[in-house]
Amino acid sequence: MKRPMVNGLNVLNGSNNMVTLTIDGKKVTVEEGTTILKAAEKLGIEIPTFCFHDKLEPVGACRMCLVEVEKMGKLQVACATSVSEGMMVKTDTPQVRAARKGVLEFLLINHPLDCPVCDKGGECELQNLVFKYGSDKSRYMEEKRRFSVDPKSKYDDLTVGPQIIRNMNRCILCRKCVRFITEIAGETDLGTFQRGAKTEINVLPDIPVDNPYSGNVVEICPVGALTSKSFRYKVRVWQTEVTSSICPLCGDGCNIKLWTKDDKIYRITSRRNDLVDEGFLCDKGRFGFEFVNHPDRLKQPLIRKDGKLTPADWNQAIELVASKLKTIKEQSGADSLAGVGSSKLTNEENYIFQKFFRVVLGTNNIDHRVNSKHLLPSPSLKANQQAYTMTNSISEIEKAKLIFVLGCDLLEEHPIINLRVMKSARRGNALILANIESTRLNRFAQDELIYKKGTELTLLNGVAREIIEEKLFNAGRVRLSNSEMEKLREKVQPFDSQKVLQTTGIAPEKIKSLAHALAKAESIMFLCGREIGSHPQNTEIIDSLNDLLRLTGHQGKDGCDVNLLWEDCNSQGALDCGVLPDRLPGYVDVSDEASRKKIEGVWNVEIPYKPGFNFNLLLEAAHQGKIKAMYIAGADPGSEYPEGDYVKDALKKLDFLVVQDIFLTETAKLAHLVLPGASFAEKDGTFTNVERRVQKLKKAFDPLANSKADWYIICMLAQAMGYDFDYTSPAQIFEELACVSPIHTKMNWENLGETGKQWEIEKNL
Amino acid sequence: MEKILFKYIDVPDQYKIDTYIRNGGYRALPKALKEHTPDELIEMVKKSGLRGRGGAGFPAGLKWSFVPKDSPKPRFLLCNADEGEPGTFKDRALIENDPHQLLEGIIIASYAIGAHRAFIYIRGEFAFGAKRLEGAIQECYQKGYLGKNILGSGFDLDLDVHRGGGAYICGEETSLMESVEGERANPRLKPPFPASVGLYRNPTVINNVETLSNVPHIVLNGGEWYANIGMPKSTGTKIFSLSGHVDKPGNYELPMGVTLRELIFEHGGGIKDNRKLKAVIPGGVSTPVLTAELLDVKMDFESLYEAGSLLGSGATIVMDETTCMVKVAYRISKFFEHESCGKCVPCREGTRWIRQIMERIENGKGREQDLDLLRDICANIAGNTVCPMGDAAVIPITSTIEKFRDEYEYHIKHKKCMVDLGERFV
Repeated sequence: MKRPMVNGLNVLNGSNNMVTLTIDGKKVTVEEGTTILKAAEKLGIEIPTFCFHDKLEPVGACRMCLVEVEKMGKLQVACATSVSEGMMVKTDTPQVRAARKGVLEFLLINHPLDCPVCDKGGECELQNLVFKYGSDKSRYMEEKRRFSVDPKSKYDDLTVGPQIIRNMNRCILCRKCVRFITEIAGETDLGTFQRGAKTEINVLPDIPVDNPYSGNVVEICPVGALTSKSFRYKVRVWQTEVTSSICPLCGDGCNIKLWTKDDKIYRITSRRNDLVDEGFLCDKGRFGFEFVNHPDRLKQPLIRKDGKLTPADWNQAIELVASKLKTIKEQSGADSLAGVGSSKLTNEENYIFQKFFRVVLGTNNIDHRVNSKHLLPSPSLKANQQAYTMTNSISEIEKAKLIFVLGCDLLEEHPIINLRVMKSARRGNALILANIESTRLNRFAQDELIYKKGTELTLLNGVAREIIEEKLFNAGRVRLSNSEMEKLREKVQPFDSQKVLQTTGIAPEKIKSLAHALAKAESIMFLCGREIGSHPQNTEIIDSLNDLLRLTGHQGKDGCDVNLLWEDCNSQGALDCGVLPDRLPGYVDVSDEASRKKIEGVWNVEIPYKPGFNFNLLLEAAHQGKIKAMYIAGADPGSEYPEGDYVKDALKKLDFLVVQDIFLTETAKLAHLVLPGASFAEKDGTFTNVERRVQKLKKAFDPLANSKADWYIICMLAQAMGYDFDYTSPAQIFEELACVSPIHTKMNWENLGETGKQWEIEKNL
Repeated sequence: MEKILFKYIDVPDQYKIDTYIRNGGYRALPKALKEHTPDELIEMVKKSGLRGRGGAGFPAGLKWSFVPKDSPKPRFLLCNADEGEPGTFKDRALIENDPHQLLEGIIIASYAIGAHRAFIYIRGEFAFGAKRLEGAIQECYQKGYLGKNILGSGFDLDLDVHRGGGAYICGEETSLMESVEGERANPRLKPPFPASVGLYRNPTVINNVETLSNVPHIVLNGGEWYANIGMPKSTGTKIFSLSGHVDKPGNYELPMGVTLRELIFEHGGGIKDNRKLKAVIPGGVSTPVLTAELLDVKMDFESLYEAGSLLGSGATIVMDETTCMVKVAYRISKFFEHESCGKCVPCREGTRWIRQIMERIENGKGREQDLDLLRDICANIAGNTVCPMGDAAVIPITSTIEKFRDEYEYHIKHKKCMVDLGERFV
């Protein structure tokens, strides 16, 4: 595996030496190892490129960025030449202009006149640079090179993957596609064949481009050589509007752009946030927007009449819900009502959802965790308590000396974090995987442990035992007191290699080498995924991992921690905003009178102090008839809960079930009343990603048909029940959240900016 | 003049180690290992003035001294046996007939730069040469000249032959390294230079076969001895691969500075069939063409440069009056189009365009503006490419247009060759 470098300098070693040079008569000072291109950027001087990409190793192949450097005879490529003290660079001399014109002419001589039918028109680098620096006359009168796919066809399109179509005639051989796939995605689907003017980018026979990041090559291609099936021929880019948003499909929170026209999404591209996605998207997110404009979207409220859900208007629906909830509350008490929020609704929506229940209905019976029977205790931010979140940051991943991934298929659950982990491995950092099944990431790992489902605790205890018994730990670094050490030793004593082998299936050598790796590492980052979050022994596992951190002396260090990666786009946010039976926004304990004071002041109400039922208990209570009405917004427990039938039976027992969603889900089918909500593209709001980063999404178009934004619906309900939820925008709701929530207190709608803000967490010391 | 490299080239069995030793071989190696430090050897080669024989002419000792002494990284020595420059066939002779001379040079050079791993990158087409080398290497291992603790000196060296896949670009040192690493043979950007960042990013020295073959003789006889042969700035001997319209084409080892006239007429037997000399390409097709008046130019780096050409690899191609220079340029343009690696835009697209225009001119479809167009295309390529192949590709065009413009104009105007090719051209 090649290490990244520019001009032989290992750019990973951030240098403190500064260099001053002159570009076009202007002085600029930059770090040693910076390229001329980057230094010019700092001065606002644009140097044209084709084959340059910030995240790929520079190759100097297109020759478009040639500039004059005094004392160097030939023109030099700005993208790959490091600056030196006193260097004099000129980017706009006759020689430079001639070189640029020459390169563009060379690219055009074989380029087909496809602009009228080429997707890339309007955003094509070749078009743009020819307009800026090229000639408007062609001198070529020979026969253009042609990469024919089917001799009988006049179209030269080759499908190279489920989404990707290649037209080799348009290719300028910058090779960014191949370089992306090799250097970033860690795959080998696309390759370069033949040489010289016959060079071709292609796939191996019968092996299409099928990696989960393939869509990036369409975005990264500067011309229309690679196009995507989903966007092809649909619309011209200058006819669309672009809106900033956040991908709603997983907890990574990639920053995206929605390209829309007339209330329809045509494509999604990256809105590069170097702190999160570094400009790349996974195919799931990039191509997964069809649900927004799907014909099955709920278009108006539905009320059950004579057993059938029939369309109704909003006034009817809101009136009905308000009166039903009021009646049931009066008859059976506030605690006979329950609410289920969602890890897919925005922070603003989750916030006023829980506010609705606490202020309007007067109960703490709310939750959003519908996909597990084993819930973690609610997070707490008190010292030495678990926050059950990703305590490190995404950008810290590539610096960790050892990453241990437990119970997580990163490629499936967090594709963009998967890229960061590969990046870390390429830099020479260690990577060890432990999961119930093998994953493709193992190509970058030193070891992969496959254990029997559910046996993580035994595995971890076995490793701790090995470290203790073999005295692998450094006595001076251990962060455990003598008594704590004794307790730990006793706890793990029974887990010798035989027992570990029997229970987990992992061979003793693997336990040994894992123990050694952990003990020797300079820093350790634990990443835990799907298997851990909903595990019956999830708290014990997190505790064990923390014990390992303290045993190896890494607890409290920067970049070291136990990270639980939540799956959905706003799982973290739903927790943060208090859609929990025992927590208010910002993890304020609902029974802690003193801490509740602030929020009670803002809400001007006394909040019920008894913790409510969590989702499992809600189901039980519904079965027993103790819960009579439920309002479910954005969640589908009928499909997501491990025992679907149990959920459905519970819901069927309710006197009144109102479900708010964008499709008629399994849960919605059981409702007495269905309210049509809006997708992420139809509302402003924020999502909080796995690393606690609150990021803004903007509305691209109004809610479709007669649906409404979820936050608006909740406000309407509150108004109908006599409470003044007169928010005019999600931004306003966010300001209130920031006011009451201790973790959002430093944020406001403005300072979230384009890259979002993380809420801070104190390290467990 | 007594030959240095070719002294025993015609001795049958010279490729066998026993014959080589009997003829004075493997005396330099023990001397180098036991009587000299690596630094002393580098100084010796510097003093000898030995310059690279592959075409670039870079001082060998200086190149060796660029390897950082205090780097903990492993070093590599690569012998460039790609011999791709058309008209060159000297390395082939050395490899096939006196391989141990080369091996001895490689081992000494490796010792001098602290390399314990060396490769001979030989062009794939030289199957026989590769076999000879592999046989010779095996003999070395058996006799203890390769492997661990060579001749009890404590120096280890492993040497392998790596066969190429048939690309001219692999003669370019950075492409050569890419090829050894198993990557596409595209040139790398320089700087950094191989001496600091080379094979697998480690310090590497790449030398030509002929260059390395000189090393044992320099070690045995001293740097000063070598410096006294040839010319002051181009020392030693040079093997000239003489080909074309001469009576006795072949390899000739002569002191640097021999005149072109002497090479062609005294050694090469003069022009075949007593025809008139028209043009000479002195150092391989990447060098500018010379016309007959320059016969007295000395064949060394400086003199040829001053005369407007280059020594290059010393592949001297002689053309008589029945040669159509347009056809020559066209044929060479096809070579460069075929061999362009495709990495950078000017060479990849430019060499194809040049070939297409040359094809039209050669086949009677040339236009008046084609000559200026060709010159413009060449100007847009030269100096703007990743590696020197771009510059090499334009030289045949620009130099033939400059020296034989009338032939081009005749082709364009009259749609046929100016010269009478007679029945010689098939």
